[in-house]
Amino acid sequence: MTTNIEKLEDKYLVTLKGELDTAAAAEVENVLQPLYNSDGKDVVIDCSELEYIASSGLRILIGILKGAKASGSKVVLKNMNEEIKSIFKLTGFIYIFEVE
Amino acid sequence: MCFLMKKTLILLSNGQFCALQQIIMMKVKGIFLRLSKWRGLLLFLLAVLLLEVLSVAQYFFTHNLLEEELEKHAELELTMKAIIMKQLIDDSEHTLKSHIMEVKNNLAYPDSMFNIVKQIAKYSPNLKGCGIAFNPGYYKDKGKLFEPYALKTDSGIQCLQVAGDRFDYTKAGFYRGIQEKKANSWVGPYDDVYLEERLISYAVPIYEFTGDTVAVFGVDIDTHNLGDTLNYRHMYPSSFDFLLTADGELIAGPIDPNLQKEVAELVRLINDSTVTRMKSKSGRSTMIDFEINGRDGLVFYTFMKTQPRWQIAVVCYDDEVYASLVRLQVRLLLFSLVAFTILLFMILRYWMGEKKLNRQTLEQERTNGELRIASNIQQELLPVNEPSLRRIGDVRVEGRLIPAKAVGGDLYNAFVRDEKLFFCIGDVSGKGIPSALIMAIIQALFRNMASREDNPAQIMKSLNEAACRNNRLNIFVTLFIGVLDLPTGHLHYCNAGHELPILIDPSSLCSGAGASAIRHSKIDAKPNLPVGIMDDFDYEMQTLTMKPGSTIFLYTDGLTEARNADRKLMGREKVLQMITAVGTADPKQLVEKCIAQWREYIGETEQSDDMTLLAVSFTPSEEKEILDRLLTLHNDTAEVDQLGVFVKQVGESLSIDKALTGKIRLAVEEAVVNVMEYAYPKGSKGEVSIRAVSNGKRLKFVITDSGIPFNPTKVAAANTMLSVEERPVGGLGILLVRELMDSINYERIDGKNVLTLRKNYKNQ
Repeated sequence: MTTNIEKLEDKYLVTLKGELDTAAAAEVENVLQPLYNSDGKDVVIDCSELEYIASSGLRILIGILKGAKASGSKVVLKNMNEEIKSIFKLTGFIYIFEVE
Repeated sequence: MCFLMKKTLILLSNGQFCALQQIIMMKVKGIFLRLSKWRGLLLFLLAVLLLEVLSVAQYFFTHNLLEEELEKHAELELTMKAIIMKQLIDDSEHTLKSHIMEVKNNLAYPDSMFNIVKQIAKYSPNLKGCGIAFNPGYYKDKGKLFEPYALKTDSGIQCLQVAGDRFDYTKAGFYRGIQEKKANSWVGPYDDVYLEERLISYAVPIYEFTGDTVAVFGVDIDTHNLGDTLNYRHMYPSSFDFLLTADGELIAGPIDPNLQKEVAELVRLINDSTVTRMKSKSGRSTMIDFEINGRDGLVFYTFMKTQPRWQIAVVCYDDEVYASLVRLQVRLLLFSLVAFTILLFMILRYWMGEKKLNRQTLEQERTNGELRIASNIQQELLPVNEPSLRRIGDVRVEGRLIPAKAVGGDLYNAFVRDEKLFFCIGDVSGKGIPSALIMAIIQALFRNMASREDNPAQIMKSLNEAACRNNRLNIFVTLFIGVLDLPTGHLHYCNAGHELPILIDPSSLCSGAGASAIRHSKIDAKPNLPVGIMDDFDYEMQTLTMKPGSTIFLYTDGLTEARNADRKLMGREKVLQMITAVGTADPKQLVEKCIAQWREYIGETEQSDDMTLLAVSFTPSEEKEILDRLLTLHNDTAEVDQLGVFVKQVGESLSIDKALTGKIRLAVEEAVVNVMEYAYPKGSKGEVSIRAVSNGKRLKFVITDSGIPFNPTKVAAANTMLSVEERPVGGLGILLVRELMDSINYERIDGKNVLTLRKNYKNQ
């Protein structure tokens, strides 16, 4: 599982690769922790290479979304595969995130 | 659940349709009610009209009758008066005639004439006087005019020689008339100048032997007296009679001076040929209707049959003639008034009664309609088409509730959640609507509480607390709750004063002892206390293990206390015999045959109580396992990546597609992480074993740990409709497990938490 944050001028670009299971969640959370306190920039998360996500992973995304919402910025999830999307649908996350 | 609600909604809308129909019916009935009101009024008016017509007809009938009677009466009166007159006439004529010879014989002695007239006047009570008017100069020495006259006065008979300067009888009508006619005749009436009386006279000429008339001999009748005689009696109080000459001149009438005008008017009417008159029916008299001084009357008159042809008239006034009729009418009116009042009263009473009856009927119909709806809703509360029962093959459930009335207080329920069959049977004390309401509440509460609680004693406790709350009617419920764990066959149950269920062991059925004889035993269940009596009662859970193929048979006292035509109770023993006789453990057959026997037992007798049967058969499918792998992890989430690999390998071994394997992996991971986090307190070490088993169609993961009892199925799943701010952190894991797997089952076995997840991977 690799996690990468790229700070652009107007947004953060997050790239998630591999399987975000419970074991990986702690490490990913460490990396993404800064985004919990938004500085007003939008967060774009590229999921094109995300193969799996467990509820612990979903919780991290919720943390980021809560921070962004507090500062009025957005969290956009891009390029999710169908399996991940179905999990988003099951949990209702599809309604609270911006999914492209 | 949703399915059930939908059905209920449809049912309710059906019910509303029924209600609408009923409202229309009520409206129609209302119109009928109003119509019948009009009908009642019409009836009353008709009765009034009829009686009025009758009364009028009766009036005319009676009037005519009275008229006829009057005619007869009046003619009788006329005849009678004519007889009196005739008598008077005959008397007078006879008196006079009998003295003619005496006068003739004594013509030579003028003074003897006084004696003759005196005798006549004295002995004839009807005569006023009697006189003989001689031809002028007949007696030289008696002067030119000589008329010896005897006058009846109050002081006696007075003899007079009336002729003289004051009275020249030769000019008087009677004298001249008789002289000219030379025959007997009635003369008058005329006003006698000398006597100053109105008289009527009968006179005869007196002949000499030579054949010449020498005198006129006459008797005088005082018309005043004649009138009095004529009116000696009356038909009616103000009736009177009067006498006319043939020419219509009044001879005599009533002496009352007040009546003179009337008499004169009546005489005028009789003589006036233009006045309408009628012949009486008998033709013997003539009638004239008159109105004098505002009083209607009828005058009857007729000519006397003998000479002189005088006319006699009798007068009757309508008010007197028809007085009896008026009295009759008044009585009739009073009578009909009373009759109408009674009729009106009766009609009013009828209306009121009918109205009340109608109201009652409508009320009854509405209640019946509502009862039907309630009955349907109640049946709908029963798990007849429970989808969760149809999905699971490990258990077969058959239940039947036959209420004694439209709605009842019996209940049963059964559904499967998390590989557990939750079932209950109960009987609310009392009958009818109150019991039915409690039944519905208990059904809903059971469903609700069993949806998150596996322990039947806990479910019972919650139900008991709810039932004790505000239980002012002191309604209690006997209830048996069972929770059958399908993977193990463990039956956890809790009894609250209900009839003990019967466990039917099928082994005897197969073991040659005879197909019809099966072994059964009553379940050993503590009675505890019925629900709704003591809110803090501690209900105890008991457990037994059901053998595959065994059936638990539950019933309410509607079965054991069914009465036959002899009022004899069926009783427990008979029920046991019945089950033996039925000879099957198949729930459907068992229930149907029991009902048939029950019906046979009660026969024509009215069902006195609700009757409910519930049979639950444990029929686990025997599976051949094609895969059985085990993974043991520590309670460390960092080891979860091993689980991912394990599940993927299992998926590959069973050729499950990757996407489905991913879903299964997620569910298992969430379940395992849950156990790691909650079963072991922080810091304590423990193990979690994950066993994967497959029969080629279904994949089963059994997750076992030795931690504190923890049932993840009781954790409420997250609400997926909440916004990000509202979302609680927990609940997401169990939500994913429930959504991704076909079933989840928790069971605490031998001090271990055993969680089983299942997924059919074929035909996905």
